[in-house]
Amino acid sequence: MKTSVLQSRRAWLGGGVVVALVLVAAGWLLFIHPELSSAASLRSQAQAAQFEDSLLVAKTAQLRKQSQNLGTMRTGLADALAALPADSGLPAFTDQLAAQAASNNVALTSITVGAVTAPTTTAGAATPSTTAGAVYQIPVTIISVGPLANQEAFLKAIEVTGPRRALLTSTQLTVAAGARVASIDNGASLTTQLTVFSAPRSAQESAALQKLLSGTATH
Amino acid sequence: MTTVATERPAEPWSAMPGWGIFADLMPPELLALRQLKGLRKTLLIVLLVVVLACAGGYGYAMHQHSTASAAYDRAQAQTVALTAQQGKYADVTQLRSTTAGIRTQIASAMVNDVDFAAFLGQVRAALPGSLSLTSITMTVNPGGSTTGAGGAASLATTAANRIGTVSLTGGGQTLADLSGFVTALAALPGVVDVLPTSNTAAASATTFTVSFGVTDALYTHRYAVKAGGN
Repeated sequence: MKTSVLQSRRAWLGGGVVVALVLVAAGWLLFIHPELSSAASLRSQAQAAQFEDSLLVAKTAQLRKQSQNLGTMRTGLADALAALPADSGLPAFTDQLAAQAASNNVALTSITVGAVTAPTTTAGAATPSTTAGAVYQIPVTIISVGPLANQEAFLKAIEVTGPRRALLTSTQLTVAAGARVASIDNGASLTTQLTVFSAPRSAQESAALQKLLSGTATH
Repeated sequence: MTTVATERPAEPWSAMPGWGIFADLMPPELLALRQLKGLRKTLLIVLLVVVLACAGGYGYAMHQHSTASAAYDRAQAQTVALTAQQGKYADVTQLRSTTAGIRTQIASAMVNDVDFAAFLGQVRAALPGSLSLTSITMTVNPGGSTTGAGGAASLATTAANRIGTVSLTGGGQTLADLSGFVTALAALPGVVDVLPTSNTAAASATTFTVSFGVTDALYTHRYAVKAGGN
């Protein structure tokens, strides 16, 4: 009898300990740990979001500061568009050359435009039709007459002042016809071969650019 | 089974003889059952405590979760607010990206830009007073030949790539006048293989031709887009 009571006590004690352990394990594994784990994950996500926010704050402050110079930025865009127009831009380029020749006291005698060259693909073949975003090349040959120093100034104006960007590929200075002295210093005929560029844009892109330039893109 | 107490002097009935004798007649089975009952009660209380502790732990975990969730929600709300705030400056962003895009196209197109005017000025500056030029021809063709003029082998030891050629013709007073000019030309940056290809004396003057190559050291890189710049 005493033995059976003792056994019963042991069974109850053992069972109680086991049940307690099971309760603790189940509580930890099924409820507490998943919740704590999820909380840790959320904390880490919150930290990442807070870091992103700090970057956004800095970027917003930078944008706010830049927005005070919108006029300058629009001028920069207009300059870039003048340097690389969407169309051939040849009338404006002709006007530019004429003005630069006049201001440097050289006589512009000829402007010859060659065939437009399409940008090549990676395989080396020319693209079949106009592609928005691609840069096309337009070869231009200019002949001007004037003293060498003036011709150099004229070249510099074309190369640096622009606004149309022109890549010079060849220049030939020879003694100008009718010059008294056989030297290019006093009178030279300058034949310049250069390439101007054009980046065709779609109607939507052009409209968006116009909006940007006029300041009606947003708000 | 019967227990007899013999010495219990501290107890009150120890004064009377025989009064200190008592017997515990409780059946041991009943005692054991009572003890078992007590054990069960204790176990139940312990288990209840364990359950309560688990519930407390879960409550703590929930609180942690709720706090973290609130912090995350706040951060996300701020992200949304800041993004919306950035939307006000969309024109700034568009202006910057569009301008940068066009400048990148220009940089790509003008990658082989050479300052012809400056270079011709340097050639003219190297010309001694006793010589005059009757023609200058300068051609830049980066994809062209890397050899000397007319396909001749290059004597240049520079690692720079040859990108073009220059030919000069002119006149002087003596044949020796050309030497100094050739030396001065060879000292110009970006100039290689300076060759006085002809130097001829006539009745009262000389005529000469000089050719040389130019290297990629003449590239201006003035349109290169700076990293991180606009």
